[in-house]
This record gives sequence, C-alpha cells and structure tokens, in this order.
Amino acid sequence: MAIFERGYRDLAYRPTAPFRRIWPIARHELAAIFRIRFGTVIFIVCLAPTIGSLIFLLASAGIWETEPRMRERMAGFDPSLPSFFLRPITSALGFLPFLVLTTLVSARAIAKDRAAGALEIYWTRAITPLGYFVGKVLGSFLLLATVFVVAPFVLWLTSVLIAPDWGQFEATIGFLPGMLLGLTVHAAAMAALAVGVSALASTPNMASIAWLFVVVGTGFVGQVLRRMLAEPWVALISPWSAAARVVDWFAGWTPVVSYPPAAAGVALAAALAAVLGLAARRLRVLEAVAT
Amino acid sequence: MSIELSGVTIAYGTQVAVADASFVLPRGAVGLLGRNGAGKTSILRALLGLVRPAAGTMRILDLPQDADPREVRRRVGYMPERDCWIPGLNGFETVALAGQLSGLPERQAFRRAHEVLWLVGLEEQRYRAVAGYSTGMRQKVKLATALVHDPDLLFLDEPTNGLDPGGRVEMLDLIGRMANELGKSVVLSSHILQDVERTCGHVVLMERGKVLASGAVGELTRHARRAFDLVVEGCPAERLVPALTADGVLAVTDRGSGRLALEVGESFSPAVVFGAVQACGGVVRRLVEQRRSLEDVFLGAVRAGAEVG
Repeated sequence: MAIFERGYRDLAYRPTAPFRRIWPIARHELAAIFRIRFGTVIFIVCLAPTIGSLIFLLASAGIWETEPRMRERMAGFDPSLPSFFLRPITSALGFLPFLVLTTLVSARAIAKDRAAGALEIYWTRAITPLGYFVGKVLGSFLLLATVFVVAPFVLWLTSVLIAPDWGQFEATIGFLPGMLLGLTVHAAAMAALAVGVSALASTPNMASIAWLFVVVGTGFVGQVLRRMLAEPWVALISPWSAAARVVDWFAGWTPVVSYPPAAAGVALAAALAAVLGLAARRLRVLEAVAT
Repeated sequence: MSIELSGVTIAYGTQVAVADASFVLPRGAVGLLGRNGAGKTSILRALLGLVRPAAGTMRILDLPQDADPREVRRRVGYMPERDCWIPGLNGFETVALAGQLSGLPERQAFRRAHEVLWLVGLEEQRYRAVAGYSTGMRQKVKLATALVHDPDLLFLDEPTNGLDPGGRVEMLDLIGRMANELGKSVVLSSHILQDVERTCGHVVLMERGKVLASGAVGELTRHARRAFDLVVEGCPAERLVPALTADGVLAVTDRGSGRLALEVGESFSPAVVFGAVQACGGVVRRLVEQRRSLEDVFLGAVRAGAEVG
C-alpha cells in the first residue's frame, strides 16, 4: 500500500503561525554541519576541550578532598571554581573549536544561500527576510550552544554526580545559573555576529574570510594596540574578547587579564549593532530579486 | 478574474521596468509574452509583493489590495526563472521546507512533498542532493516547490529555460495538466511564443515595459490581418500587384517566379484574386491561406508599437 497519493489532490489545512515557519530554517541550519563531509568528526573535535576536562574530572575524582593542597597548586583545574567550566570555552583552548564551528557553518549560512540563488526561494514564500534571518541565527545559536552551553552543563552535572557528597553542588550552584546565562549570551551574540557577517558577503568563502578578520584580525590588532597603548580595554575591539569577558562577569569570575565588564558589554553591543545594521540593508528583498 | 492591474509602473531606481501596465487576467492558463527585459518578471515580483510599484493598483485573487504580502505568497506558487536551490538539501527536503515556509504543518508538508515529487516525475531522485541534479530535474523541483502548498495561482517564470526538446515538451504537458485537469490558474511568463501558444488560452504581449496587447489567443489571432500565399502563371507581377491593391488587398509582396504574399482584411474574398488574375490573362496555380500564429500577432504588435513610439 502506498503511503502517499500519486495524483494531485487539493489540500485543506490551517496555515501555521508566521513565527512557526522560522523553525524549519533553524533546524536545517543546525543540521548543516552534519551534511558536510567529516562534519560529524569536526563537531566531535570541537568538543575536545570539554571532553578533556571531563576525562580530567573523572581521573581526579576524590583527589580534591583527600589532597587539600591540590586546590592551591592547581587552582585552574579545581571543579569548584567557575574557571574549570569556562576554561574549555573562553580561553585560547576554547577559541579554536569556536573558530572552526563558526567559520565552517555560521559565517557561511546566508552567503551560501545567496550564492545558490536560494534567497529568491525564501523571499517568495510566506516568510519575511527578518524571519529568515532569525531562523538562521537560531539554528546557528543552537549549534554553538550545544558545544558552548550544554557541554559545560554536562561537565558540571558530572562533577556533581561523581562527588562523594553535596559539597561540589553547594560550591558551584551559586555561580552556575550566571555562568550558563553568560555562556548563552555569548553563543547567541556570536551566532548573530557570524550570521550577520555571512549576510554581507556574496560568496561563502568571502564570508569565511570576513569572519576570520572579525574574530582573529580584531583580536590580533587589539592585542598589539593594548601593548602599544598600555590600555587593557583596547583589546575589547575584538568581539570574541568582549564576549568572553561578559561570560566571566556573568559567572562572577575575574581572570588574570581582565577588562571592565561594562566596556566589554558596550563593545559587544556596538559590534552587533554595526554588523546587524549592515546585514539588514543587504537582506532587503530588492537586493535579492532586483537584478 | 485572477489578476487585475491598473496603470502599474515599476521602477528600480531611475530605471523604469514596467510603464503604465493595465490588464485583467482570467482564470486558467495565461501567457505573459515578451522578449527578455520586457518587464514580465517585474510584474510577477510586484504581484508577489517583492517589489512595490511606483504607481497604479493591483489585485490578485480575491485578496484586498493592501493584503499582507505573506498571505499573497501563501496563496500563490512561484517558480523562479533563474537556476536556484537550497544548498545541502535533497529534493524531498527542499520541497518539504518550501511547504513549511508557505504555512503547511510539518506532517502535511512531508506527505505533500512526496506527492508533488511523484507528480513532476522525480520520485526516484527525491533523496539526491538538488545541487547534483540536471537542469531539467532542477526545473521540476522548482515546479514541485511552487505546487507543494496547493496554491490557487501559479506563477511560472520561463519554466522551459535550459531544457532539451524532450524535457520542454514534458514540462509544457505538465503545465497544461495543471491548468486543464487540475483546475489551477497558471501565469506562464516566457519569451518563447510556441510555449505560450501551446499552453495558454489568454495572453498579454509585452515589449520594453509596455503592454502591447492582451486578450484570448484566438481573439488576437483572428483580429490580425489574414495572409495568403499565391502562385500565378502567365501574369507578370508588375501588372497583377496594382490590380490586387486596387481590389482591396492590403499589401502584396512579390517573391519572384510568380509567387506573391498577400495581406488582406477581414472581409476579403478569394474571388477577388481569381478575378484579377483572369483579367490579367493568367492562371491561379495555388492560393493558400496562411495560419496566423501568435508570433505574427506579436511581431505585428511590436511593429505597431514602434511606429507609434
């Protein structure tokens, strides 16, 4: 028995609400990396820093309680501190997976649609350019959140479950909500920035190059200026540095090299406003169809 | 009536793509005929709410003039002219996504995607990536995405572009089925006269952003000048041509060796030719009426437009 008709038939259906039409776009964007050859491998590699922390956590189970001096010697690896959970995300170690994921997926999201002429398919459907953009950002955010929000949460959960008593839970529950909120803001801001950059470029490769400049180029320039001017906050011209500082602030953690959190917030908001403003102009319907 | 345009002008910056276009399109298959750059696609995009006309009013289906463009696009299926696909998706995913973006619930979109892919003949290839499809297969996917949400009206922009002769016939037959068997209103935008003539009962002729003529194909071809192919023997053309012109033949072209092409009015009778040839002392060897095609109508309208311009 065929599960569908072969002939044409009229349809009777109640149209879905406009906001529900965003979800299919987000879902396809989330799945985009797994359509790339070796995409699954890349995704797992991006989880490597968190997996490394997880292995360390399991291997060192019980040591923290029996060896009190360990806390002093290896403060950065102490699972009762925010730094243990944030290190795989906001440090240089976490920067590489972030760069790979965003460059391969998020920063190409709209540019590849534009290059394939897909914008005309989207624009001629019952969805607005804003809905399309939100769908792309949402999909990209969910992908980044899997690596940069869910993975640290799993790490925390494991640390609580393998602890001999409620000590680990009591030590960490205070900063956990703030930390997760900060990581969520970080993933959302970076997804919006990357997808915004992808809306500006005409080809996926151009978008990837532009994105590399936004995160790596500004980071390099920021560090050079910071040393030249001896002003730490200058490094905040890098959206990555600004977002990382915002996460630290949410988690209540002050790293060794620190910037004012308010300045970091303003820098991140300014970068978002600039990129999204330009993206809005490039995503006007006329830009895509008036050839 | 499915579409009504009144004094519509569409401009991109300072470039006017359509100037003061007015016509009413009935239900059924309608052709928008014109050369590249005539303004056909601009009209379709304006009807879809993608381009705002600089002047004039438009009505589509039973929707109010100020209807939400999303609601218009939910009721209309559009097959774009240019080669386009959603990167990374296969045929089934593309069509299902198009359905969901048009307001279909997920389950119905999935089921419907299978159905329309069967309908357009892509049942075996539906799980292959669209990027790897041939041009003909991509045209079929575009048609399937236009049909997936069961629209009341279909806009097909140059649907036979890039197709081989076999694929072209297949596509036109499919379009014909949409209009004749499935009861869809179809607007076929094309620069290929034979495609429009084969599938459409009503046509709008466009040239350089202006509507030259609009009406039923039969009506337009009937009102055009009739033409005859004449072969005579024993009567020189220099004597026959003035005689025929004096008897009411509108234009005579001497093609040599006794062959003449005649353009005549509605009331013309072949007896006029026989009389003139007999008076000249010759014999009519052949007198055949030429069927007026849409191409003749189009070229005539373009010529008339150029003369007026």
